[in-house]
Amino acid sequence: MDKKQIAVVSGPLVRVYVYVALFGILVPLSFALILAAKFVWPDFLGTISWLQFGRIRVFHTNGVIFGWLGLSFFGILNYCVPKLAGRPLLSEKLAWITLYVLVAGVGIGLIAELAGGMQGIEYAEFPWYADIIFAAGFVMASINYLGTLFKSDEKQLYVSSWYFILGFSFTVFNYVMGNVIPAYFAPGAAGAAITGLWIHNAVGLFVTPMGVGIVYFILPVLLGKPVYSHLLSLLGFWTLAFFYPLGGSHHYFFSPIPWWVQVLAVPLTAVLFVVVVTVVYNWFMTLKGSWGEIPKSPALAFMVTGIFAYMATCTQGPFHAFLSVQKVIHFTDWVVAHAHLALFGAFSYWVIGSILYLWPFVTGKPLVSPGRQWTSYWLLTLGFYVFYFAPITASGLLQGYYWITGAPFADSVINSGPFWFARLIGGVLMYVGMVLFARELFVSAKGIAKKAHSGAMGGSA
Amino acid sequence: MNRFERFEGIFLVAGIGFFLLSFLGMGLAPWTTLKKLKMIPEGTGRTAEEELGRTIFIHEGCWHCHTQFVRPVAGEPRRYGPVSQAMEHINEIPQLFGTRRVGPDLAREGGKRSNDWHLAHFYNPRLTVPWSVMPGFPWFYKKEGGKIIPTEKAKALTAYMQSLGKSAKAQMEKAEEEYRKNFRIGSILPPGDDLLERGKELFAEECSGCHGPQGDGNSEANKLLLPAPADLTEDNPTPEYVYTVLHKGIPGSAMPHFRDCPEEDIWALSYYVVSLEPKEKEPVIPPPSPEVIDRGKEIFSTTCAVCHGAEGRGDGPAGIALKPSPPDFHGMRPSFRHIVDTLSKGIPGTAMAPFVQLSAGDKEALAFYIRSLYTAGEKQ
Repeated sequence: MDKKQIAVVSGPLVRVYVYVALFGILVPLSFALILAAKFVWPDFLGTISWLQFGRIRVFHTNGVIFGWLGLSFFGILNYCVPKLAGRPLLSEKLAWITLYVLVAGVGIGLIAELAGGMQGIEYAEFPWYADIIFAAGFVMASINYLGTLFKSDEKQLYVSSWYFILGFSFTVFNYVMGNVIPAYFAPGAAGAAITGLWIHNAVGLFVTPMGVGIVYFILPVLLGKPVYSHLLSLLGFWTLAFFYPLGGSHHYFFSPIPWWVQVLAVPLTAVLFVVVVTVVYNWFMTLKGSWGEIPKSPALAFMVTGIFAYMATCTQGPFHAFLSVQKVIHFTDWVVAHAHLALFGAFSYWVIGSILYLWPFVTGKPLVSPGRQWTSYWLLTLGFYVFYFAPITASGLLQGYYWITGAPFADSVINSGPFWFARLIGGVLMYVGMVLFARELFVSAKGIAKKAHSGAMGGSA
Repeated sequence: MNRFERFEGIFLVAGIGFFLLSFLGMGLAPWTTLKKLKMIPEGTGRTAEEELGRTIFIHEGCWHCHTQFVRPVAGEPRRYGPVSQAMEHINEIPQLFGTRRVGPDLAREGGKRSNDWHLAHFYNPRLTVPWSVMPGFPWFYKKEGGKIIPTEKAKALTAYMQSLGKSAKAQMEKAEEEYRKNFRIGSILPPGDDLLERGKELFAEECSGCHGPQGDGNSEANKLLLPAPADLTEDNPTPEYVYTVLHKGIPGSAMPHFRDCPEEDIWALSYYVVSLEPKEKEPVIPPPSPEVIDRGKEIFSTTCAVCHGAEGRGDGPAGIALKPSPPDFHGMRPSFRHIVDTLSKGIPGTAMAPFVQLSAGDKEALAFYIRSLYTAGEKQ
């Protein structure tokens, strides 16, 4: 069965997407380090216009979302989708063109941001010309993946496919809505309502379906057993698809957006707790009896750690919807930590775990060094949880506390200093961890080391 | 069950259907509610300069650290001003509400600080706010012969700051006026070494940017602020005087108020400022004869009283409307040399002109008279 499926996957297509995605994480991460340092020493690296904090901040967020998560998801999909459909991609040529177009879109967008041409919409800061190129690339990708799944001869679509179909069909519309309407048509609070939807849906109906779909694919193959419950899969999918898109205005609680919209967003967000419980319970029950496999496979360790982060961040979300919580944490570092828990702790871990799993199949060579993979795992994990997530969550609470008690604004900045310094340390550890991961992929693909470690292939059988 | 797992079902229902539901229900519906709103008379329109400033604000990503809406919770109306209303924002495309506050909210920024303050702040934020982590924007300035000159862009950004919260500006200015008019010192915290120590710390944190680390007004910000930050070592104010200034600020100058700080901190700063001493102490001056004082008084009543008031309380008929207003010489006792110096040079950026027509003897007589007004000792 494996052989037949491998034949449908184009190795180079997966590899090159992943290489580009590695570029898409290492460059924005370097900028993230500069950002972290500027929080501690505001004049770090002097006052150069294109290294101005505001500009590199969006370089970091956009680079990570589009360059890293976007392209690495597509790289993994180049592997998963043909296997799910039991046939090659609709057009491999189109997939190559898609890559060039996406790289052009993201590259031009990021450079424009550094040059001082960003647009004033969160997560849509690319100027319009970059938007158009990126959107064209995204539509091409959608046609390719959706077309492949549509033409599949498989009798029943697997749960991962549902998520991928949802992610692409929804996001094409969402991208246009988010980039056009608030930028040109909807003023003030009306624009905020739509921007809220866009930000929210970009995470919930693009990043989430891609990530969750990938976990549904990779986790069972790593464990060598099927998903625990089909019913839970269905329930988790449809509750996500229905409820998630309705909570967007919770990004602007207590703003001039009509109050009924905000009030409605509270229960519609709180109910998302059901989604995460359903999905994560399904995964944990799948993992039941196989926990012992984790120490043998860095790939599995990344996947499972990501699942825990997903559970945590998706539990935080509904909790944030309570207005009393909003009063304190909104606008603070807490939210920054929350966003990183999702995009780094969950989705980036899943991407890393998945790539580690599929790399031997697309390169034809085993991974070289489990030791390096574990070092990378621990650097990323310690760097993130101990030096990033914990201190930045704490500084968020502290900021909220100072504001609500009426203390001078200065207090919220000055007293965040030690936490921001901790983040810088975390950033360095995370950076080194990510470099080691990239190195493992490069070295393994080149096949420099002669001896193959069966351990690295552990979960692939 | 099967139909929930088919390509068409997911594509049409979840992908397109649920998107439309979200877009119509949570995106367009709020918009239709808002369309009924009319712009308020004072307007939220912007001049071409303010518009340029807004574009810069967007391009530099300022909105990622500075929000622009005041929430009705968490004490924000007290900190920033009236709660934001939807109609105030109907001229804003794209909206700049923002989602993170590393720096303070700017929805009510207009009129809170002087243009100079903003210009110095954009050049290097730490000039006016030593604890700030904001980036500087020196590329909006040019240097000519050691002078830092703001370009159109720096001025536009400043104009945009002053335009924020236009519709509530009048209301806020009135409230501010009332506050200053009605301000009275409540209870006085007695001085102490701990307080002085705290004051020193706070001075470095909050004041040193403009007034210089020594408090003598010798700072980088000095180059961009007009009137220049005061040399606090030569003013010899009472703690109560400093305390009042810290609560009220000095409108017409870059000196903001610090009334958000705890009372204890404000007293700490007041005592610390009083304790500041000049690098070179003024030589002891022998007490003047009563005739000299009388002569000083005479010159004061003919030349100075129109602004500084008959008794030197800063409340002369022409002085009341001045910004910055003339000081109250009963609450501060500037050094002899400082008064003579000021009479010769004036204070650029204020209504205090140089009085070249006065002879050296006249200036000295005035200095003696002004110093004799200080009544702090008697009050206690």
